Amino acid sequence: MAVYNADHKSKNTIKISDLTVSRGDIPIFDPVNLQLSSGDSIQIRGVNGAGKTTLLRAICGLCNSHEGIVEWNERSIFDHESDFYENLLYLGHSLGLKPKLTAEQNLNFYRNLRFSTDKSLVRQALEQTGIGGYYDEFVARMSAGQKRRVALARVITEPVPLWILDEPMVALDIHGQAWLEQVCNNHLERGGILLVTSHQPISGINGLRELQLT
Amino acid sequence: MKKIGSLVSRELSVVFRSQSEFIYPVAFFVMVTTMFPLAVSPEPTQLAFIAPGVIWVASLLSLLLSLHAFYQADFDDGSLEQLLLSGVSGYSIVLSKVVANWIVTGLPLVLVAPVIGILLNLDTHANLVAMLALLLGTPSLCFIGAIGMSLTLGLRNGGVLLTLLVLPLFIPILIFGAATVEAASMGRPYIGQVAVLAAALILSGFFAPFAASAAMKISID
Repeated sequence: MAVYNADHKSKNTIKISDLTVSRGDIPIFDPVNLQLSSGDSIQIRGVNGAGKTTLLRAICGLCNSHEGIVEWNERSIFDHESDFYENLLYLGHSLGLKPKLTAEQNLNFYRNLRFSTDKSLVRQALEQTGIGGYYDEFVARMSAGQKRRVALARVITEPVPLWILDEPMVALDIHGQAWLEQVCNNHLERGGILLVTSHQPISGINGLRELQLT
Repeated sequence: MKKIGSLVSRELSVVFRSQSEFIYPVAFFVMVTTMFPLAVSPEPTQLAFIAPGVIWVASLLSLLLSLHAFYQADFDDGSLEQLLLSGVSGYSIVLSKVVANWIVTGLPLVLVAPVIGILLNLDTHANLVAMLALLLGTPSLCFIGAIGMSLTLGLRNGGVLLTLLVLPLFIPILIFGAATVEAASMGRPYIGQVAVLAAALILSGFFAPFAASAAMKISID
């Protein structure tokens, strides 16, 4: 793929030690220990309510009631927040797209916050996700699957080493799912790190480890 | 700085897509202020007497109305967490929201106020001073409102709680804002009140973004 030329040359690691989140005094899941280096990927598994989303949000530093340590390149993410966030792309259940802006405006905005403007890259990314013809369509008028594709296009427009994707397959059709798996493989080959949850089986990502939440 | 620029321009382009966001507060301001001649008395000297208070109370309430649109939508569609995770500091996020909020709501109020002033029989001098007072006071209100809004994000009935939290904090601005206009309309010196308004703006502008971004991080959990 043409736009895929940014290698993550330096080796990155994310290390999660004894991470757990409590609601009230009750921990939602047993403490999680995990270490991922460049090229590693893991799927978090668990039944509904097992805390998959909560775990991912805690890793991103979005949970205030967490216990444990998350380190990015051996530095705590809570002490070196901006250093971690510059390398992180988190896509959750809320896609973070402004319904009143077009697909292109949304992607341009997020790209602009971290990188320089590159309008042709944004168009290319939308093209790849299969909604190239809708770049100037307002997100409000798109279907759930199209919105998901716009949000996922950010993995191309913002080439960062750590991807945390919460249920990225939701609302995607078969072609979309195959595209996502291919993009993830490319990402891992280039030295990226991937954490993902999914209820659909993911068969196409090479070397995907599994973590069962209890 | 570039980031704040692109944050502000995004806020503005979202708001300008739906004109209601910036027409409603101004329309509310005009409606409320025109109620007073009908309810109190149409007598010109009486009107001039109540004008400073009416203008300030109405602008305070219409600013309160506008706050919701700038924070709640971003919270609901997940933009706020994406912003916090994109390496932009919470301080810049709040600052850009306040700037956009003021451009969309505060600035129109400053521009409309003299018209209402004429309607309420304020003389030209007092009218200009009222504009100055609003110019200094409304940004402080936006900054203080940002703290309240960040604390009540995602709460049910957050609007009522917001009002209860924020209105008491608006009181100092209200007192000195209305006092400025009153002093000017009576021909007394008003420089002291203006200085207090300016000081309040500097204080709230510096400290409020810290408080609001901390509150935002708690609300997003």
